[in-house]
Amino acid sequence: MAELCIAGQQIEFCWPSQSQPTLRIPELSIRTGERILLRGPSGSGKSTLLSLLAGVNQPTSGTLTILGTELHRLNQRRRDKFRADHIGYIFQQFNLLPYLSVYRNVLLACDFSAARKQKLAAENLSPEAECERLLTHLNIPKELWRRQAATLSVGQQQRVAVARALIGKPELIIADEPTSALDTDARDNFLSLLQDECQSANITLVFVTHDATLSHHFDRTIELTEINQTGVSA
Amino acid sequence: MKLFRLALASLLSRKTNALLTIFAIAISVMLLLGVERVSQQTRAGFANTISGTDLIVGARSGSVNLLLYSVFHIGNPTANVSWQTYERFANHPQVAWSVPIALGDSVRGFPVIATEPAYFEHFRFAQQQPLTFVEGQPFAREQAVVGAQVAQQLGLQVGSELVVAHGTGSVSFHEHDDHPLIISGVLARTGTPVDQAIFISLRDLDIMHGGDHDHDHDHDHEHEHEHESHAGNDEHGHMHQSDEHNHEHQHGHTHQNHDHGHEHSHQNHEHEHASHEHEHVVQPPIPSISAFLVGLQSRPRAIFMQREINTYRDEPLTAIMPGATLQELWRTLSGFETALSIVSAFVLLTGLIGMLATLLASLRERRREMAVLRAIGAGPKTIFTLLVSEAVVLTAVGIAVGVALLYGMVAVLAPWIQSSFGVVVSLGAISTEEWQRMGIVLVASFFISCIPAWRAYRNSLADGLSMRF
Ligand SMILES: Nc1ncnc2c1ncn2[C@@H]1O[C@H](COP(=O)(O)OP(=O)(O)O)[C@@H](O)[C@H]1O
Ligand SMILES: [Mg+2]
Repeated sequence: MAELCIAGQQIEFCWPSQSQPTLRIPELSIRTGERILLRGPSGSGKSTLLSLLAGVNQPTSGTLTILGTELHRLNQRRRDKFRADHIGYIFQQFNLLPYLSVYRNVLLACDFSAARKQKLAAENLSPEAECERLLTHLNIPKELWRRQAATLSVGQQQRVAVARALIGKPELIIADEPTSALDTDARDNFLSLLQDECQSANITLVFVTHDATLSHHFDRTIELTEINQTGVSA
Repeated sequence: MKLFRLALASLLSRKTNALLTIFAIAISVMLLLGVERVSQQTRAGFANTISGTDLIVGARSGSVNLLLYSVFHIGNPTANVSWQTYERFANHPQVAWSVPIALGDSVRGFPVIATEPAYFEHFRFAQQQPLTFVEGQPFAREQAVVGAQVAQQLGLQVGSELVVAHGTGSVSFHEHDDHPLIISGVLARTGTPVDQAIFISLRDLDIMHGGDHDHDHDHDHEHEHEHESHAGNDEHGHMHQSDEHNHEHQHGHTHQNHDHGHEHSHQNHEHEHASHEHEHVVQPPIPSISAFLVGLQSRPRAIFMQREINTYRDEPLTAIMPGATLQELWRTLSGFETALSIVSAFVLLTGLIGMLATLLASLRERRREMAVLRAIGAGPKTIFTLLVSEAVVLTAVGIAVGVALLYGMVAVLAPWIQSSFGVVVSLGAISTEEWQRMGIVLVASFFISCIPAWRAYRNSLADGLSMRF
């Protein structure tokens, strides 16, 4: 049995501005290397759960262990560093800083994490070389690399976001509905590229969507409404 | 360092806002420093304008007014002092020396001061420094001495001609109107209103003003026809042009020698006239004067002499002690200076509030940027630092631009300020006080930017990565 990448017990989370908890999850376990589809209707708390996994927010109660680290034992600063070092995060949209070039956007992840740079150095790779490899592999034409990120199409921007999440081989990739702004072709292309990369580097993937048709791309599907006991649904 | 580059790139993507903010700060800094600089240099210049003169006497008026026209050559006397009265005090036993001055004319904005050559001997500025000539000597009749600034700006040197038009220039008196004076000397720079002044003899001023055709004048007329053989006489009159002509084409050396000899005797004559009481015999060079400077035998007696003059029966007079009146004037101006400082402080405040508004407004559009940075591992503190450093960079650039603007303005406006207000504003190095003010601005911007930065900090904590905006 492979070790657990994510292990949560009795996770409860309530947004400070809300009276009802958004999440109450008795148990959550995701093995290292697993590719998970996290599904749920809009407003069901998917993004909220991801922000807990990423250590941006902390569970109100319960324990959440990521890669063997109990996040609640870390302070804010260390949790931010933990995220920078071990987690690649992809948003639904607007992942890139519009004023930086495509190239710099990808390298940004290394700027914030010495660990990622070290990991690359251990494989005798410079961040630049890895950046170029990823961009090439993710089908970003070379002539776009020096362009401002804002000039790319949404599909291209999402693929650049994947490159940024992947650079330095973090253990966990979290993607929050990254394909919802893409058309079907772009979506399938995006998914297969992401899957490829995760597979080859043995990266755990938690992929959020409200689209049930994508489940065949993944090892396992978690229905949030099934594990979440708050009964809040839209 | 990486973070700084990021902040810079982000800032550059919001160029218009950034430029406007920088500009607003630059203008306020320029004003803030400019006010300080002008007032400081005015203060220094003030103290240096006159020294060694114990009393200045003019017709009855406010003491500041008297000081302004007699020393700063600003404004005009409302009334004059008669020559008789001047003579009376000039011969007062307590008076060591006295120099009359008459004002009223100007050449291209430079005030003309009619006086006696003794002016150059007795006038002192700064720490008892006398006036010195870079070139030439005090004026004689039909000659003029110019201050350094005048010489530079009008391109004058010894031997140049200068046409003094009377007042507004509307009154015309046969050949007097474009009657040129010959520059006899150029004064060294003093940094005082003397630099802007043109000095001529009292007699010349009187004639230009269409003064009485007295014996002096008649004397000239008598000689007009025979001046070729008696050229030295031009000292006494205004047939200068024809004489120039002679001088150039016919007489050369002999003429000049002649001239000199005569000039001396003339001066001696005047001297005699001043030291002995001959006023009933010798015609005054001018019927009335604007003011006169007095040096006393004993300085501590100035206060008694002042009272004596102020209570003089025959003519209403005002005597001032320049030092005291300078201080009084400075007090008047320092209220103005304080007001200016307050205004410029408010301008600065406006600039900073403008920056605050811009920063706060940009927060909304930057929430995504913040979320992205959070996602790749930037902590709320990094976000805070990013915003504060942006504000501080904007302010620092604003300050630099403001200083550049200040120097530009000083370079462009200094001659105008000097000629209009007699204040020398120099392009000197940045003073400690100015550095201090800049420091205060920078620190203020730091604290002000903490407001939006704190907000962004809170936002980034509250929003998490939800991007619900
Ligand atoms: N930053 C936030 N502050 C307060 N409430 C939030 C915040 N983000 C999400 N919520 C609330 O949490 C609930 C779940 O939202 P979210 O996790 O975004 O759902 P999903 O991603 O599944 O659409 C919603 O009711 C939403 O209003
Ligand atoms: Mg969501």
